[in-house]
Amino acid sequence: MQIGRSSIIYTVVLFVLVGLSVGAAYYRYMVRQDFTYFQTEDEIPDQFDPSAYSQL
Amino acid sequence: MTPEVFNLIQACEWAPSQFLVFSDNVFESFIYYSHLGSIIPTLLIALFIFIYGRKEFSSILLLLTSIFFSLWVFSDLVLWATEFPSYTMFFWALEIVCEPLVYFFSFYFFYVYVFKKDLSVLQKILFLFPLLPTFVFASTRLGLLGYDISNCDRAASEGILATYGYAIEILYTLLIIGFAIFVLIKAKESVVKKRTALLAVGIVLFLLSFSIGNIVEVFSQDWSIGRYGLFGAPVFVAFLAYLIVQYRAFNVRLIGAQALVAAFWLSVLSLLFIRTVEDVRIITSVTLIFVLIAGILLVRGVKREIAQREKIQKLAEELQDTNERQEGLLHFIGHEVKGFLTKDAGAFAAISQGDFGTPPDGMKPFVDQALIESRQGADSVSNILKASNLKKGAVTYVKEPFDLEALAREAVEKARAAAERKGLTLTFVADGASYQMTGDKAQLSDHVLRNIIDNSINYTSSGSIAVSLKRDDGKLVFAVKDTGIGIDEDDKKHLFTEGGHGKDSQRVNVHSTGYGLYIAKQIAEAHGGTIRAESEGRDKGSTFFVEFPVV
Repeated sequence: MQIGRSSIIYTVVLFVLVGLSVGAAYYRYMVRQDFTYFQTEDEIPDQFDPSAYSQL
Repeated sequence: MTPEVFNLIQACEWAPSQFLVFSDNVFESFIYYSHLGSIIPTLLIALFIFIYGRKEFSSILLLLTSIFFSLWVFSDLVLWATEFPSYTMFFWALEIVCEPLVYFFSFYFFYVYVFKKDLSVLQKILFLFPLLPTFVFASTRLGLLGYDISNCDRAASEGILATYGYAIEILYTLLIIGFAIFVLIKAKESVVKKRTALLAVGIVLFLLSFSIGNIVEVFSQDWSIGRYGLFGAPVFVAFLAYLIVQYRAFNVRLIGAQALVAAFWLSVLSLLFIRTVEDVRIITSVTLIFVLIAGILLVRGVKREIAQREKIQKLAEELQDTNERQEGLLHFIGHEVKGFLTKDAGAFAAISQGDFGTPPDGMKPFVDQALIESRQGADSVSNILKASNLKKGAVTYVKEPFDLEALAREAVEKARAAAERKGLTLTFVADGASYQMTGDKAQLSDHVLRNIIDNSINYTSSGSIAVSLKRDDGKLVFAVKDTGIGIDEDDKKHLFTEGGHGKDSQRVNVHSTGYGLYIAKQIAEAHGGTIRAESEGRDKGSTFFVEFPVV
């Protein structure tokens, strides 16, 4: 089966989404270095606790 | 670098990394072997399949799977090596994006390969939907909560998105298993069932080996196990590649040989990174297993290849003997039939000419028709015998100097009656130059010049046949231009081949054997000449050219 037009568009859209996602991560972590340091184990919140995500 | 990070690096005595991945932080050089040893063969195999099946959508999907797999593995290597928290955070986020994509493309590849069709637009949206939260939230706290400096492990703390990623990985794996079971139940052909089962097992094992580290890590908190699982990845990608080539025209043994060579390269390359005796033992053991498997496959492949080649050679010899016997038999039959037809033609000619008295009323037209058909039959058999002799090189040419113009004029006059019977205008012009050449007059007249003129008459229902002779650029050019059915591009390809017919040739000329132009070409070439045809297409007439060198 050869690649069709809709598959090309689909793949391009997918790559754009991946690119935007990776780009956003690069900007936040590499350029702005915007992340929290946890000094002690007690500071690390439980990932299943909704209050851990009060700030995204 | 912030003072906080600088102090952290100093306090933990993290080593500096080079080219992102080389660092003393990688406490076991074995990790290079497991990571690079999975990226290189995986990409090589996927590229190989992509190059040979470039237009195949499944090949493209396999390559995309391998690319995201390799990105994930590379990111993992950076995580082992880097001393910078920002690098850890970014490459960890990259892993969170790439990991479900490996599963998604594996599922997509499986679907396209098994069902031989693309997903519908609705399915595409539906199956992409679970990935959207990953794309949107990978760079937020939902992906990574932060960087843990409560110890010197250089680790990020994962958010709920990482766990969500495992859930959608299970979803895509279940989809593969579900579709495989569907095919196993519904498919009627056993080959389809076998292919689907092998492919599903291969992909699920590939994904399992990819995620084994995460699975074990959840239960044992031991991160080092994951590196062993990566060894399974190229093996299973090779297994998938094998499945693809098994049902296609690619050369499996070539892949086996390439994989073996790649294994040797990697094992030698990995020695550069070895620091401990323990590592040497592990690397040697893994390489030995890989080389043993690839070696056995390769040796078996070569043995099978040799056996097949010997079998083909034996069959070819038997076929040649059979062909020679059949050709001899056909020659004998041909000569016999030709003899009978010639005798019949002689008898019909004698009756028609009144050698046995005037034929009764109404009998003569039947006898004349029988005479024509007997002669045509004898000519057809002669052509086939002639072609066979030419092919065997059993034709001898009696060459002598002669005037090509006189020979061409004679051929035209002999064909004039046939042209006039069809109401065609037959003309001949020569530009008055000298047309002396050396060759076999009889063969050239009967099988080249007459053949081409008769051919034009047979395939022209109305209009004219213009025969010409001229000297052009040191060549004698004999040309026959007609207003007949013409020749399309497809027919041109096998116009002068043995038994070659145009698409409509036998509809227009029921007596066509397909050998006339083949014989003309062989004889023209035996005289150092060439033969070709030109036509602007169907119903636009054609022109045949025979060119002889001036000696």
